[in-house]
Amino acid sequence: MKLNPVRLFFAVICAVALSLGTGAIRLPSNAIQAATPKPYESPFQTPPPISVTATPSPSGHVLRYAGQLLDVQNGFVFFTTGDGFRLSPTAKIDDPAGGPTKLQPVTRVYARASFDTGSGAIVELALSSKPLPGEASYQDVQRFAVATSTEAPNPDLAAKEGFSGRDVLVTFTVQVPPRTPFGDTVYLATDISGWSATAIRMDRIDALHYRITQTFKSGTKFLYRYTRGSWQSAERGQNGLDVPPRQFLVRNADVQSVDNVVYHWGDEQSNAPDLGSSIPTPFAPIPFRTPPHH
Amino acid sequence: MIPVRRKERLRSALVNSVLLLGALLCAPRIAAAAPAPGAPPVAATPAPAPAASTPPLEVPEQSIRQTPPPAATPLPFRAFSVAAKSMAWYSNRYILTGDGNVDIHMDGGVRVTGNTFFMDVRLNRFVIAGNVKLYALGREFQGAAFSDYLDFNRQYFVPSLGAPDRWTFTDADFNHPLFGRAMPGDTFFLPDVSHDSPLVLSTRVVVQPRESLLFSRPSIKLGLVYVPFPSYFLTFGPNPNLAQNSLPGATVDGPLDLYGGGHGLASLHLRYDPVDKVFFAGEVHQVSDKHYLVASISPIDKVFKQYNFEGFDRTTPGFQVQTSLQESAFQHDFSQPLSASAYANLIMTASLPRSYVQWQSHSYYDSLLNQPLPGVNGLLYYGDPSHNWVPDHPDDVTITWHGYQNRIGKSPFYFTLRSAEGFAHDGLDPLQEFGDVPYKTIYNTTLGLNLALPSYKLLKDYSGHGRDVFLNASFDKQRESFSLIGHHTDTTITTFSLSRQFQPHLVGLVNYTITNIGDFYGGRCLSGTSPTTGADILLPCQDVAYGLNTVYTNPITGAPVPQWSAFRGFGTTRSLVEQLVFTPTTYVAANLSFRQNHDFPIPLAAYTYENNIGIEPYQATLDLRFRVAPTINLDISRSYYFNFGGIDRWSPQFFITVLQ
Repeated sequence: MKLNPVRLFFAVICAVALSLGTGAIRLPSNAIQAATPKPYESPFQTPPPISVTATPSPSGHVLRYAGQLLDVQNGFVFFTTGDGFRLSPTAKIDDPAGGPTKLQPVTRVYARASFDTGSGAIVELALSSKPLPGEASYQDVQRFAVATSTEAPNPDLAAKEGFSGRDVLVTFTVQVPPRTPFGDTVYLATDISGWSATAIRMDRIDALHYRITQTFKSGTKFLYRYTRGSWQSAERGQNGLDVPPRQFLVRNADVQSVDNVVYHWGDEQSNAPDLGSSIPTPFAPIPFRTPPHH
Repeated sequence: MIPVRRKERLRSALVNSVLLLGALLCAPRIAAAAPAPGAPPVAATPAPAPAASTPPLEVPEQSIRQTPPPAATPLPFRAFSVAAKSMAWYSNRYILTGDGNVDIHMDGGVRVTGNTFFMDVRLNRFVIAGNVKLYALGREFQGAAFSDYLDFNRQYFVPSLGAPDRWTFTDADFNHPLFGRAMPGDTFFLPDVSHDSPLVLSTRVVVQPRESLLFSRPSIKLGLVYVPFPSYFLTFGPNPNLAQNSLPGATVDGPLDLYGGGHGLASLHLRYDPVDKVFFAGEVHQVSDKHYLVASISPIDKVFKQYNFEGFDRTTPGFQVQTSLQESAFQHDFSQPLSASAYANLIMTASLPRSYVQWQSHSYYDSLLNQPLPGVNGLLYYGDPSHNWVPDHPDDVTITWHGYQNRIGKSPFYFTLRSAEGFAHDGLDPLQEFGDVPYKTIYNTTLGLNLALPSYKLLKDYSGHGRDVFLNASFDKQRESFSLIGHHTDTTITTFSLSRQFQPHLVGLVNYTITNIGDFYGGRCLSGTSPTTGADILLPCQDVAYGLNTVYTNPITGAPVPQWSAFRGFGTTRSLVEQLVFTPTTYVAANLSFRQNHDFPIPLAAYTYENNIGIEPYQATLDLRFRVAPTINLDISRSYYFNFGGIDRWSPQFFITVLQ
C-alpha cells in the first residue's frame, strides 16, 4: 500500500488530537496556555516548583494568606513560618480595606499577602496591627516559598514525640503523713511560679489525701514540691532528709494524673517539748507547768 | 574496620564539608547579586526542586507548639546579654521582649543584632527578627530571623543572602550549618503581648537561661506608675533554695530582688504589719543544690530589729544539718542595743537502714548583753526599765529515732514506730516546781506508734462512675515519760474519715477525730503538813498536781468555771467535720465545711475571737478560690462561729497570692 503524504499528515494530526483528548500525550503547559489560557482551578494541585530564576508570569488569580511578618528585605517577604516569599516589584502595600496605610511592613506587623498563582509572587500586601483573617491556608501558599537549599528532614522532629501545646488537665493527688494536722493546708510549689511556697493550694479530699487539677500546655516541663505553706514545712523523704524537687512533663493527652506520697514534713517536731507555749489553762496540761488553781 | 558510628560521623563530616564549601562558594556570589533593600528581586542561584522523598514540612497553626522532645540531660547554659532601645518583661506570661537596635552577645563571641526580640523563659528559647545580622566565626550573615532553642542547643536561621533559605546549627556549631533542614513549626513565632502590661522596663538584660534575668536600671511597675530602680534580679530557676525565707511574718510583703546570680540573691523588702506599719527589710541568699545560707534584717528602719539566719547543708547523701539563729534587738539604727535576746535551733538528720535519727536542740537566750549596773529600785536594765535585763537561758535537746512506714502483711494497714530521748534545762527559772522541789533539768523518753489505713474502698460503686466510698483511718499513740517522779503524758489521736466523689467536680468528706491528752502523776507526794499534828500529808501526786476541790476561774472574766472542776489533767477533743469540695473548673474552687466540737474541758468565749480559750464548738467555713490571672490567685475564706457564749462571730480572712 502506497502512503499518501496528505493522508499521512491528516492521520498524524488526528492521532495527536485523539491522544491529547485522552491524555495519552501531554504538551508543555506553556504551549497549552499559549493556545487557550486556562484558569487556575484548585489550590491543592501541585504546580511546577517556583525558583528564584523563574520568569514571573502573572495569571490574574490570587490566593490571600494572612500571617505575621518577620521581615521584608531584598525583595522578599518573610512570615513567622520562616518562609520567604517573593514580593512583586509592583506590589501594592495598603490596609486591609485597600486604602493607604501608615504602617510599615516590618517585624510583628500582621499582613495579608495576595499571591499571584501564576508567578507565585506577592502582588498585594495589606498591613494591620491586628491579626487578619486569611482565605488560604499555609499549605496553599507554601509552594510559593523560595529557598536556596533543598528541604531536608529533621530527625529531631521525626524520631521522637513532639508536643502539640494542647491544654492538658493534670490532677495531682498527694497522700500526706498520718500525723498531719487535719486543719492544715497543703500547697504545690513549682519552679514556674517562682518557688512560692503557697503557689497552688490543694483541696483536701479525705483525711490523708489532697488533690488539685490544673491545666498545662503539653510540653510544659516543671519541677514541684509539696509544702504546708512555708519552706520550713516543705516535704521530706521517708529517710527524714530533704528531697530534691519532683519533675513533671506534660504529655500530649487529654488528662494526666500524678499520685505522690509525702512521708514527713520539715517542721515535724513530734517529741521536742515546747518551752514557749505553756498556757496556764486546762488546755495545756503538758508538760511542765500545772494549771492555776486555788 | 571502621565502627558504624564512626562511619556515620565521617559521612556526616564529609557531607557537611561539601555543603559548607558550596555555601562559601555560593554565598559571595549571592551576596554580590543581592539587590538593595526595596529593589525588585533579581535572579539568583536556581533553587533545586524539593526531593520527591522529602516529606513536606507540616506547619501547624501559629498558636500550636511543635517542639522537639526535651534533652535527656540538662545542658549547661551560658548567660547572654540582650540590649535594645526598649525591653519589657511580661511577668504574667514569662515573656521578655526587646524592640529597636536589639543586640545580643552570646557565648563564644557570637553576636546577633536585629529589630525585635522575644524570649519565652519557660520554653527557654528566643527569636530575634527583622534585619538580622549574625556575627560568628569572624563573618557576618544577613537574615530575616534567628531563633535559639536553648534546651536542645539548636539554632535556626533564615538567611537572606540574596534569596531566602533555612539554616540549622547544632550545638552552636556555626561552622557547619545544616541547609534546608526542616524546622519546628513555631520556630519564629512572635507572641502577641499587645494586651498585656509589662512589669519591668529596661534597656539591658542579662539572661541566665532556666535561672534568672538581671535587669539594668529598670523601671518597675508599682501600681499604676513605673518607678526606676538601680537593678532588678528575677529568679525562676530549678533550685528552690533561692526561695528559702528567713524573714519573720508580716501582713504584706513586697520583695524586690536587686542583685543575684545562679548562687546568690540580694533582696529589699517593703513590708507592712500592724505594729511597725510600713518598713523595709533586707535579705541575702547564698545557695547551691545542696546548701543554703540565708540572712535577713527586719525591719531595717525601726528600732526593734530582728536578725535571722537560716543555714542548711546536705553534707553527705545520708546526712544533713540545718540551723536557725535569731536575734531580736532594740537598737536605734545599728548602735549598741538596749535589749537583745536570741534563739538558736540545730537539727541534724542521719539516714539509717529503713529509719533515720534526728538531733534537735533549741536554745533561748533571754539577754545577750552584759549585766548592767543596778538602776532605779535596783532593777537591772539598759536605758529605761522597759528594757529589763533577763539572764535566763533555757534549752532542750531531743534525739529522735523514726522508722519507715511498714505495711502489715498484705493488709491495707501500715504502722510506724518512733522513739526519742531528750532533756530540757533552765538553770534560772525552774521548769517545774512540784512538792516544793524546783526541777531545773527534766529528762524525757518518748515512744510512739502510728497505725494508718491510707485508703480503703469501703463501698464499691458498681455503676462504673467511680463513686466509691473510701475509708481512711489513723491511730496515733505516744507516751512521753519524764524524770520527774512518775510523771508521763499520753497522747492518743484517732481519726476516721469517709469520702466519696459524687460528681467529677464534687467531693464529699466526713471526718471524726478524737484526741485524748492525759497528764499522769503517779505515786504519792507531799502536800503539806497537818496544822494539828505537824505530820506530813501525803496525797496522790495527781491530786497534788491538779488540786483537790479546785475552783478554776475564767482568766478573762475572773468568774469561776464550775465545768472545769472535774479537770484532773485529762482532756478530750471530739471533732466532727463535714466538707464539700466543688471544683467546676480549674480556675474556681469552692470549699464548704462545717465543724462541730465536743470537748472537755469546755471552751470559754472571750470578747474577741483571738482570745477565745479552747476550740469554738461550731464553725462554718466557706473558702472560695479564683485564679484571676495566670500568676494571681485570689483566695477568700470566711468562717462563722456560732452558738458560743451567746456571741456569734465572723472571722474574715482574705488571702491574695500574687506569683511572680
